[in-house]
Amino acid sequence: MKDKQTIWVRDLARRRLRGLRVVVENKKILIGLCMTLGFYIVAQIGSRISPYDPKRMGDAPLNLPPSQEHPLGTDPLGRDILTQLLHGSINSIHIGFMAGGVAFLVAMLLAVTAGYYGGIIDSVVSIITEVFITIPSLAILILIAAIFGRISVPLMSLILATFGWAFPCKILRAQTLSLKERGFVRLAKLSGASGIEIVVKAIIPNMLPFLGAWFAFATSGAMMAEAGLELIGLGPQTIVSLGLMLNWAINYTAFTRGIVNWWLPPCVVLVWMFLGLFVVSIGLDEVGNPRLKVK
Amino acid sequence: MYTVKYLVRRVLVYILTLFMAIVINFVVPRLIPGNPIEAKLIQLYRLGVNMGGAEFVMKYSKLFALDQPMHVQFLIYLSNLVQGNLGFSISYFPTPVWQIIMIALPWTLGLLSVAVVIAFAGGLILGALMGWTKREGKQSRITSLVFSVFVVSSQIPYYMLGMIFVYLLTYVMALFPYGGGVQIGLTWGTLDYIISIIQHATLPALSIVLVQLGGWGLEARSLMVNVLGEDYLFLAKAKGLRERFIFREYAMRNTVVPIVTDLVISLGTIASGSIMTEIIFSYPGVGSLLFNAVKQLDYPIIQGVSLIIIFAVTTAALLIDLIYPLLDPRIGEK
Repeated sequence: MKDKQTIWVRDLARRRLRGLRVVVENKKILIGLCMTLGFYIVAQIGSRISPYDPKRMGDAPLNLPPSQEHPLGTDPLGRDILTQLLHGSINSIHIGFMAGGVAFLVAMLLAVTAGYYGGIIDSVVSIITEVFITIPSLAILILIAAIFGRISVPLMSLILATFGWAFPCKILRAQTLSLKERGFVRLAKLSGASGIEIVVKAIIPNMLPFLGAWFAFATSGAMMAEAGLELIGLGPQTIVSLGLMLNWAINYTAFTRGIVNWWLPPCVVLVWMFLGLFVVSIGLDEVGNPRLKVK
Repeated sequence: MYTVKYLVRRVLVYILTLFMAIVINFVVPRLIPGNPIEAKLIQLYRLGVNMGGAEFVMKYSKLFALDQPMHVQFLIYLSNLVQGNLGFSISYFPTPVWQIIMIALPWTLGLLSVAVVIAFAGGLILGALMGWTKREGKQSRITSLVFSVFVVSSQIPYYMLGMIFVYLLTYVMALFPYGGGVQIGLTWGTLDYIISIIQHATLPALSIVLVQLGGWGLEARSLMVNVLGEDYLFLAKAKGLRERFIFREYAMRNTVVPIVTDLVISLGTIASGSIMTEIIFSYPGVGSLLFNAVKQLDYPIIQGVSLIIIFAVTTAALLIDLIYPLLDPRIGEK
């Protein structure tokens, strides 16, 4: 009994090590991580260096085009756009990670439990998942955010997470189902490991690439939803975020006035982050499913 | 074709989804502490309007059934909904919400249906062809270029492409008109009117199409790559069938089937994307209606629009899911 258990634990350890090496070797994951984390660090440093306040009005002349003192110009209330951008990026990334993290954890727990134990739990979870997938989350988010008015950042993240877990959950559940039938899980079962032990030691470690990919997906989805809500004019609105900057740009009629520096920088940052997270998730997907790899 | 289980399950999900949306729509406004009529009165009082005191509150609480217990209120709400009664707009009082939405809805439906069909069909074909070139390791430069373009374009938010279009093509080059769905002053049904509609819709539609094309393209490509490894393709080739025939009848059919499920799943995202696009272009659809309602705190409109969007998306998803087994005979049997 004891011997059999050490065999499958050692087997798993070997698998895990191999996985780690592949992650380092996969260029997409490295590039994506550099894009996202690198930008985050730059924003953190930049927001500390910047001499301006992202929210205080009238510090500088209004509507300045880009110049040496204000590299991205100023907005109609005399605030430095670059400072707003740096602070806004940090806030947007934080909300994204909070909401994405919660959504991802819920998705993983539900998916693994439903997939592994099956039966009535599985039916209930998959029906709820389908309901949350088909419902257009932005419509519900708009409703909740509009009625609560100025919601706090944690509440916002929680609302975003409520509608972000379903799709990852569906995919991860299918993954669990296929892992459940694999030899090493059977071996673990035969050697007397308990259900929780198998899930924690055998199923979750073997899903790690997919889990990472779906964490990146959930984060980028949450950031996108956050930006969308703020763009419409909903959300916390007490902190600067990328979506709020876009909302200001629309409200100050940047388009009909032909002003670029109000809306293009936040857009570029958003795309940069989405792209970074997407590249990470593609890379992780390739690690988990080598057939996808593009030469 | 369908098994009873598949049908029952699908309809159950549909009903549950709608029910959840309706419950959220009913409960969330009532979570806010205090009497909404008092809140409205205080708001009006600040603006200098005095409508009356406690008596007024009583009268209107009765009118809106706010003095009834919760479950009775819910039943009243449900029966109103079934009759299409979504309440009255605050900023255009006393126009019913339904009437306002009905003016905006055709614009959105027209724009979206055309854009989504083009993007879906185009992405599917391009992506499948891209995947198809990967068999026998043939990989031309064009496909890898298109692949990278798709990766980038699928991650661009709808509104960003829209903003760039608005800036470059309506402000800098003035090729297209900005704002609205049709030029004001034209008579309905004339040729000029139709041309004007197309001119106004081109850019919003194009930004939706370009963003979606990338997503569908990547999806179709990876599905096709997965199909390439299947034995039935090998067999078809061994039988000496023509390449084009294998592509159309074997590979394509197995690529189309799973991607239709993804269409169902992304309907919600498409709807929210079109809200953003309409806001950027100030296109007179449901999205702009919502944007203005949020600015004016017109809650009945916000609630009505979100309900309509949820209803439309879930119903469309149900319809596609019911057509789906016809495409793939295996589905209903599972």
